[in-house]
Amino acid sequence: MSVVAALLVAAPLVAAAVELIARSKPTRSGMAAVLGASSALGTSIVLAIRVGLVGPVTVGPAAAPVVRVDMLGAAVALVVSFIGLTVLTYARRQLDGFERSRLASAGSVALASTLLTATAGRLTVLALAWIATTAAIVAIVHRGDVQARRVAARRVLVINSVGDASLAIAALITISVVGDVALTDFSVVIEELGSRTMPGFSGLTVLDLVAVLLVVAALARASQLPFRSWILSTLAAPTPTSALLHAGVVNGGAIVLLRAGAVASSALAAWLLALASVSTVLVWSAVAAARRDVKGVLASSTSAQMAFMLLAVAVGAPAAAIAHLMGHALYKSARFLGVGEAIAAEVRRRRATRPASRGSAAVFGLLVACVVAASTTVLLHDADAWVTGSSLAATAGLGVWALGRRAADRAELAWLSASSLGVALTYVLLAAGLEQLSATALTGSSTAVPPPLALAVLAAGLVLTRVGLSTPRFSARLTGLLGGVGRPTVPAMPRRGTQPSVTEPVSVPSSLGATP
Amino acid sequence: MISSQGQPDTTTAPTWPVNGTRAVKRGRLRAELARAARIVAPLWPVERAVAVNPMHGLVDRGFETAIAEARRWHRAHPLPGAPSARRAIAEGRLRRDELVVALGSIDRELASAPPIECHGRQIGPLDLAVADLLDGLGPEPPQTGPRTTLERVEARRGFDVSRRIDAEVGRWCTQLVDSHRPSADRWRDWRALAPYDRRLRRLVGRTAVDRLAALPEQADDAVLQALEGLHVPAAHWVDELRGQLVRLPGWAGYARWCDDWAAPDDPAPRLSMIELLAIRLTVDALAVSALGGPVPWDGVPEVVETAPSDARIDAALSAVGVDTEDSRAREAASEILQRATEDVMGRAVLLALEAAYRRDLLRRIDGAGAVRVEAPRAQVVFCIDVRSEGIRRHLEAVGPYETLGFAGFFGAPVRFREVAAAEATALAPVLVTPEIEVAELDDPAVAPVGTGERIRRRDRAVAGLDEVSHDLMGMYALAEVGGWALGPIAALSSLVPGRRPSRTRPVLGRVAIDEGPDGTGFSLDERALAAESALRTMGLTQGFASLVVLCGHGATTAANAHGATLECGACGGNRGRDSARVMAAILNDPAVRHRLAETGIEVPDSTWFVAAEHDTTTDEIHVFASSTPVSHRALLDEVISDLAEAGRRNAADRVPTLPGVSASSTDPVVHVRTRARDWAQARPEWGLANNAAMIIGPRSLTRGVDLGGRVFLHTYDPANDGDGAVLETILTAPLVVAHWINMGYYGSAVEPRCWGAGDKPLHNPLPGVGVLEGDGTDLRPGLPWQSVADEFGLRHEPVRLLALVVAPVDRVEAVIARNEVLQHLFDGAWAHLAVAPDLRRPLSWQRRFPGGRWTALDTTIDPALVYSVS
Repeated sequence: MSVVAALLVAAPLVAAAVELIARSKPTRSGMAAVLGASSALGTSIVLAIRVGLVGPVTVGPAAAPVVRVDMLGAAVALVVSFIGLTVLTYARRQLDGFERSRLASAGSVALASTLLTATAGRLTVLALAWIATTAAIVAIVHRGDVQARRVAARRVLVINSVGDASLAIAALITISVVGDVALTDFSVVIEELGSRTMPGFSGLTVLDLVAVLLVVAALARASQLPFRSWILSTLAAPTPTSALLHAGVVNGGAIVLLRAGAVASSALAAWLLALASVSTVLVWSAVAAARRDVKGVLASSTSAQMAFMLLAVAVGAPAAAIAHLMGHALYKSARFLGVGEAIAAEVRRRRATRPASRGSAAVFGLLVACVVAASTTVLLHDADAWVTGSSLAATAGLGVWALGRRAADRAELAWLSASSLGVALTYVLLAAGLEQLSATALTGSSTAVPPPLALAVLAAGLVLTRVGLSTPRFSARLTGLLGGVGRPTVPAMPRRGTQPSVTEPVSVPSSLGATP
Repeated sequence: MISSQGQPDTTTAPTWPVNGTRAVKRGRLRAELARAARIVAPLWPVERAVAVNPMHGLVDRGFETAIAEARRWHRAHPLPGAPSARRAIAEGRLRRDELVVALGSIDRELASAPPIECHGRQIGPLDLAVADLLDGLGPEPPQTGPRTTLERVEARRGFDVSRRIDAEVGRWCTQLVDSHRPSADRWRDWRALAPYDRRLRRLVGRTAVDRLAALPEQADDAVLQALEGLHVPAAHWVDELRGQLVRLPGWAGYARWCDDWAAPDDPAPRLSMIELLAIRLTVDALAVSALGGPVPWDGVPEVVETAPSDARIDAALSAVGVDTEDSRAREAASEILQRATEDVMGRAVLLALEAAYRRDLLRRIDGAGAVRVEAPRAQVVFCIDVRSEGIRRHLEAVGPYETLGFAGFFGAPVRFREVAAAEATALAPVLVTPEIEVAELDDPAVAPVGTGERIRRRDRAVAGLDEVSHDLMGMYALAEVGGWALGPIAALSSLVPGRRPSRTRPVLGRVAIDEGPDGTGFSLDERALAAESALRTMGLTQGFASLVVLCGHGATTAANAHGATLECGACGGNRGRDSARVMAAILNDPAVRHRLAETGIEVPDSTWFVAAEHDTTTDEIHVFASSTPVSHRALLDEVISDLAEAGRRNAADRVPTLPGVSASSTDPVVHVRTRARDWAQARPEWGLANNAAMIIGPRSLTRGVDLGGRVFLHTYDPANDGDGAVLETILTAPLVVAHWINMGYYGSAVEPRCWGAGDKPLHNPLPGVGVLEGDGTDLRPGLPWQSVADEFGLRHEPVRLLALVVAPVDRVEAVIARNEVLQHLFDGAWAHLAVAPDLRRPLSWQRRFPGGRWTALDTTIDPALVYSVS
């Protein structure tokens, strides 16, 4: 079985190598990548069954395995390889020549490294996989002849390098203190590091430092505040690239925090993570709401969604985080790949419009939200119930309201409410199942940040922003403030009398530059 | 007097002083803007995109002037280049020596330049120039001077801020032009948000932003204020405005559409040129003052040819096998290459491609000789679209069919309201604004009653979910839950291509052409008039077969933002089936037939009109015949199976030309159907790529000849049109549309950077408005690169439309004399025209040159004589 586990990462890597060798014939490229992703998917299905029935699968020495596939790893591997296969098949038919061969090779590397991040058995492997992912993203995004791609790649590199450095330092500290232990033995690490205080800072332990460094790494990878958004600048790359980055790679941040469980044991790190993620949610969901270009909305909301997931980690709701990770990854890849459908959808929206609005929709929405919230408190536990419950109740309530306002009659409204409730409750059941499964797989969860407090702050901020955006007086300010967030940097105007340096070369706006 | 509310009326009292001079200035600004606006072509919302001549506004100035202006203002490369020539030579359509001859006919001074002598060999100047183009580095693009005041300032200061302003103004437009929350006054809204925009602050400085509060309330006053601030002399307003517009050609084109083309009740979000200019110029003026004030105007931007570089001379000399060290040869080559500019070489390539195609087409037509079908099984009327040529050819080969070509809206411009739709769709060429609304009513014979309502409910639900997915609080769990549904569907759509639902909605009912209680429908007079003019224009006034099929066309595609560009242009970028259904219903109406008989068109009672639609991506032909009488059922079944066979043959024809088809064993029918619904496919079909000519004449002129899907075919019988009225209709409407399409493809092919829509995988749709590319913020006009090129280069050969008309020369000349639009077209060299008076073979083509000079066009003689500088 360990051969199978090794194949999970090896197959896409071999595919990448084949694609790299075959890149001189770009018109034929892409098939190896698809085969690599298919093998990864097949392998992760086998592994998931095996893990579910028997128990974790390892590669390498049992004490400190190179790869260790447990329930979390298998679940993430399943989703990531599924999306990888979807995207690479799509890309093979959509992209031409150079771009296709590039995504086939670098995309396979990104797939392999993300899979390895999710299934790493020990710290060094995790760190190496993490750094390899950065390299793969840069390789996919960069394109020398397109200025926007150069700028985007530079931003990816700068931000993720900070994350990589943090992770590397955290790993070095840990290894120097306790050695390259298996990630399953992280409780040992936590004990050992937690008992040493930082020289010069009496209140802090080495564990705090390591946990904060891990949080910094996760924030960088997940495109969170206080970092600028690297994920938005990658819109200069083709659609399948975006699908792969938004659905696969950005999840690394949550995975590493769940794996290490460091946040769980350092209140400082948990609070930092909560602070960063709440502010990211507030800023980036407002940006997403203020934008209309489809890819811009999708990309901005990725940052917000990742923030919500990291908040779940911070308040100690790992099951909610994993559920969000999987669902969002599937959602984002599908939305990106179908981005061309937005034009026809808009026509259909206009033709289906019904001007009258129904006041009763709000009542039904509130009702559904209450039922959903109540049922989550029954079926889920503690922090999971708070996180999943609040978001699901908000969506179900707003969904019934949005759909119900458009309903033709009360019967349709009732039907919509019932089906929304049905979907939401089914999902709560699924989440409860996932909670059961993950309870066995995770080291522990944070208790430092009380979930009701974090969610209340978040909800208050979101409500204020929402009201602000719909009030004419404030919406202009907010639109002005948010409109340019995430776009390439504007250099300041030179002061009078100074002679600035040379003009930048005029860029060719697209990949067409080289062709005609 | 105090108004009834006790409040002074503030809406009509602007804070900006209005006096005589201000009003005069506003009037003047309006006039100058009208002139300046012509530098950009209108850009339709992408869901009903139509191909437009990118130099549409300059059509009255002629092709020559227009390309010069495009070069000057858009910094465009408006002529085909070496890649088109190389491909034509490689594929055997053009000979190298033809290019040499064409070049000689363009620049006689170049032709007579002294040859290069080296080691006893003589290299002619034309040979060197052609070698430079095809094998060397080719001409360097000319340098263009600054176009706006800010560009002038930048040229002095060496700092590029205009490009950043473009990006910001484009971004504001994406925020202000919003189909969900349409803004009533974009200038007012911008004024409200600008002071808070941190990027603007960075761009022009904090102190400059403080001045935003004092901006005028009216956009035109703001433009005037900015023009004054920039010290633009009144004589150069038009140039400054032009310079501003060409910096954001997409939004400027969209604003042009809103100002000049959009119907007043059009639901698309608006942006006007004056608002766009007010925003742009205001920021420009702030930036200029931050950079130390304007510099004086020194005339319109100049286009300066650069001297040939050493590398270019080296490459050209080694291409003709001359020692590159020889200083005398270098000097001579330098002089020759100095003359062989991008402009001259581009013209040579254009003329050579056109002459080669003209020769090829006329030779093919000479080979035709099929006789008229005596007793056709059915008459089938197709759209003039170039894609109909193939299917017509195949249908005629399948059985005894007579096919006709006519504009795909079949002469019935209507606003069509589908079953249970809140909004009607305009089905007409964009030159026509349809007023009559026709409704589709539920018909249990077509689809179960209530299907439309169900579809509408589903669409409403999708719209509601989309709203939640944008919602600040709703988006989190929606993504989480929705992913489990969308993810597997996405995987299936990618792994098993051809399953993705397309944007097509099924036909759900019957069309109600009669006047309805709600004011929809045609009156009998309108119906009879539409029927008569349609039949006369398509030349079908006698000899009716018992079945006449009106076959429109549409294109099934999936996840294709530019789907409208593949649909029927004559139906305003929509599917053609509904227009065909409307006209078929009109022509089957007994009252209409009675009226037709009064005007001399006897439609026999045994004749039945049937609507159909050719799906150009799948090559399926759908027939809408639920109300066909029993007497015609058997015949109809036979026709349906013949149409299906023709479709299969057409698919087999097309598949080898489609990119990405590797295995020859692929079943073409399966392939095209899969391809159409493949959401990853960037090239579902070639569309109208490679269109090159329009033939207006009887089908017997071309019957049995493979025209390669490059020709618009309009049926015309000169014998039944003594006064030229029918010819006038054809030349002023379908021909003009064909010219638009032709130049639309031309522009997207020769200048994809400013006239094309860019790279499909990078597209970022702005629903209800258009398409952005990558992280860019300007709308992209025209066609995507994938629509005109394959992996290896241009697939569309950029040539101007060649119109071939079978009619007496003086009749054609009389029609041209009556219509300014045709004078612009042919005197301005936007299209070529050749006329044959009758079908007697060998055909005697007369070619028209600008000014109305006609000369015989003989294809058998040396092509050199076919060239002429026009």
